[in-house]
Amino acid sequence: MTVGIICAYFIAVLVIGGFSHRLFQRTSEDYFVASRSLGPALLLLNLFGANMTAFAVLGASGEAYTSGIGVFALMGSSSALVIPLVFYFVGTRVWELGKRRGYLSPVQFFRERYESDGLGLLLFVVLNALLVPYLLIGLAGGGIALAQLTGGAVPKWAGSLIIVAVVLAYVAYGGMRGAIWVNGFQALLLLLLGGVACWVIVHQLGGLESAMSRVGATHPELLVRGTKIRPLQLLTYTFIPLSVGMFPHIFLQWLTARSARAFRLPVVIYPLCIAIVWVPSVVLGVLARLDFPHLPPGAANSVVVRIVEHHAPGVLVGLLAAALLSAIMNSFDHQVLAVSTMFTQDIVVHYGFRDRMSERARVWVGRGFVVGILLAAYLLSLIFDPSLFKLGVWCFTGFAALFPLVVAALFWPRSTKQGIATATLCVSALWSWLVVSQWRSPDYTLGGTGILPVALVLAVSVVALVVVSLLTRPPGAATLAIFFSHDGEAE
Amino acid sequence: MTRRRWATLLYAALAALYLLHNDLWLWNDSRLWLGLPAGLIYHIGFCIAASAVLGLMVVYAWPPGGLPAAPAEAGRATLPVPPPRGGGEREHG
Repeated sequence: MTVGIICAYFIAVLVIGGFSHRLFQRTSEDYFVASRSLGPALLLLNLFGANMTAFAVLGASGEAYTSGIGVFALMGSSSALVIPLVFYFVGTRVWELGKRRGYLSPVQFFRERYESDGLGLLLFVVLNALLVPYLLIGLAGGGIALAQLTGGAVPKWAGSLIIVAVVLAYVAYGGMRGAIWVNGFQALLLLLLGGVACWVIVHQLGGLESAMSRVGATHPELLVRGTKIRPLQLLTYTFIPLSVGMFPHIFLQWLTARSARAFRLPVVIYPLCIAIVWVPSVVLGVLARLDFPHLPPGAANSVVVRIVEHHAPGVLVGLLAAALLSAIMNSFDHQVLAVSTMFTQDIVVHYGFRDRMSERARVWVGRGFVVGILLAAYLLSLIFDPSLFKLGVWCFTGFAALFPLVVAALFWPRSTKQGIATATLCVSALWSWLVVSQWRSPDYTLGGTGILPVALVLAVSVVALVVVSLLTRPPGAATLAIFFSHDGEAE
Repeated sequence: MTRRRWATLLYAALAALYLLHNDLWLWNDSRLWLGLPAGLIYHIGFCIAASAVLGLMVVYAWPPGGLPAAPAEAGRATLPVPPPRGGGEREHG
């Protein structure tokens, strides 16, 4: 039954992807940003879907199993406030500039804003390097989920390969348009099925109050923050969601909007969507202690699958599998498309082939790169088996520390390319050192203080950007006029 | 009330929300409210409150600072600026 529902889900995804290809206009702008045509509902579903990864479902429930309910305050509710504000202040402005200037990637934006090809190249390398661990979250999560849901009939390596094949089919075929329609469907599944699965399991456990009381009797530390999470940790975790401001795939999502007004619905509804998806994950992670009190650390990532299998009928296991795969694939496909877009636009087209490549050729280069990046990510996933939560947090730390770059580019005319480059290099060096030195630290804080590394890297990024910008010459007046000539009109 | 006053008020509300996110008073409270631990249900309420404040922002403090009041839908052909250096040329200008 479970395998049948998973197959039906994959077929539905491929059919929707194939249908969306009929709307494809065969231009690079359509392939990479769907001709900037998304209305509010699809924009909401895609922004939400692109941010919900295996990290939110598998990682959050695994972390809740280990650390308790505090994980929702750490990552769920802090994202509910910070991410919509990034959409409101940064996303709308990026969309407006992208529409006016024809941008198809974040690198194009920074390159023109700071009149520097070198800076564009530096950002291309850094953004892609930081995206690799994010791609691994999707692939590892997909492999884990399929292996667990099929009782090992589909091994982890084969599960990851199936995810790669399906994503490859609809992204390479339909580009952004294919990803948008598939993700709309997937985000709806995710929003609906997580709550249903949670409700059924809680019912099986004798009701929410009864089940939580039993957890309180056997594992009281899971119902409070206690000593597992420290106040400074909660405070500094709010910096992590700033990462969305520098995710290349979210930048591309912003460019797909039909108008600035299309952002209004996502800004308002996003916090509710966060609660709808995260709360069931956290509740199931905590309740799993009742049935599986002593899972080894490596098995925590699959705890939500285990508890559903243990309590729910076959149909529900299949539907939950579809929801899990939705969470995994609807961010994975946008990330793959973002990497492909940056390679095509910022390397192939920008360096030498701009006038020699037809629209059709650019689309095919994009497709070819999608295949290459998927294969590379798949091979990496076979030799790398980390905690999804830890991998996600470190990946987000790097992107969050780059957030001052986009803020300075949009709101600070005095910022300079030297300031941006210095901040980028400082972040890269410090982040790499911290990852290597802190990877084995169980609580991911600086010296056990509760302060997260993201606070330090973010502070260094801001100081480097401001100090070096003030010591160097800003871009020319003509360039600044492009980016700041509208200031004041908003009033 | 003017847009500027609404914006000031709502930015203050956002700052208050940011502070309220740090619910130290519920840190070790294991009581169940509606079947959920106090620390979890508080943050569900926090998400609802965030949505409400953001709802007011998109109504009374729109457009966000720095965004042109007039949408840029028709702006591509009219702005007297050079094409971008970074590629991304306009196929349908």
